[in-house]
Amino acid sequence: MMSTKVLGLGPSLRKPAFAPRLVRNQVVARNLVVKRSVQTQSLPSTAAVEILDKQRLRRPSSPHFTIYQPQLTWLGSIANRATGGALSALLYGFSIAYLVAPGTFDSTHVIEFVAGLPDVVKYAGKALLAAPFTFHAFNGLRHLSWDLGKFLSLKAAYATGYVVIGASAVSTVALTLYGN
Amino acid sequence: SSTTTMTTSTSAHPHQLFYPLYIVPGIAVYKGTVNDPTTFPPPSRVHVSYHWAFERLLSAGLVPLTVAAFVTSPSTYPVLDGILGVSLVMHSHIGFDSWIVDYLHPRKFPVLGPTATWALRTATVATLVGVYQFNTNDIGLTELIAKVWTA
Repeated sequence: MMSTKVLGLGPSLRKPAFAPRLVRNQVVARNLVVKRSVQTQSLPSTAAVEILDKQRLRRPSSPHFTIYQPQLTWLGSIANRATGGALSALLYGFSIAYLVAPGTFDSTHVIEFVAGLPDVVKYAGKALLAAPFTFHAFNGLRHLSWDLGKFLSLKAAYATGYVVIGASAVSTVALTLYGN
Repeated sequence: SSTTTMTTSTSAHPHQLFYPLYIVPGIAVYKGTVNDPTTFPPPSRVHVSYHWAFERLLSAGLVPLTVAAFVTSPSTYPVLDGILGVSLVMHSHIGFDSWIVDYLHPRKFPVLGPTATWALRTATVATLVGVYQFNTNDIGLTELIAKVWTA
């Protein structure tokens, strides 16, 4: 047939058609060959979901957070969350510490402790507190302006982002130097 | 040789340990079958639009509140100090709650999510009590920050 030649099925169709059929011998040969047998176990149909869940637990997830290009947009966003979380953790920590041990954490002890620190540590500590506070405050204003519908384009997001970073830097310096 | 398998065995990812179901990275174990639709929270003005508006109003209000508290002397206006303390704690609570909703949602973490929510509520109550005690029995938050800053 023309189609078999075109499709390349010629040789495979030719062989069984013209070779002598030794059906019995082939069956015997097949039984003599050692084959791997798979034993099956009977499970209820509800086990399918369980097996699927177990399979899902073993699947890896593709890298996402580790490979995304650093950009002002999401770096600013996570920085806002991180600074807020850090400052709130400080507030919560101090309040609970004062509740638990008012003798150790009352204002006189805290002020004494800070006054006794070397100047370098005082400056560093102030900068370390002022930087997240100012960034969170200015970025918060940026967020509120988005909620009012302003500055929502990409260009505006970048421009306001740089303004926030600049304002944070300036006010951090100002706050660190204040009070000395 | 005979092997006892029900499904074809997949080789484990080299960095994959067997995580317990309550901490699973990147995978959700679904309730029901794959044909069941996902669940949605019931529509509620209080939990959605009112919460959103309250959150923004609170954040906006913190700006003049902070400025006023630090410009005026805290000992003359202790109520202002108190309002700032409560507002800060509420703002922090809403912020921490957004961490839980984003990273430990109860839909995906059926045990850890609600646990974290209740732990946060407990911590917030403790913080409010602590802030009240500090503002009443001691000099108050704004004065503490002012004194520490100039120590």
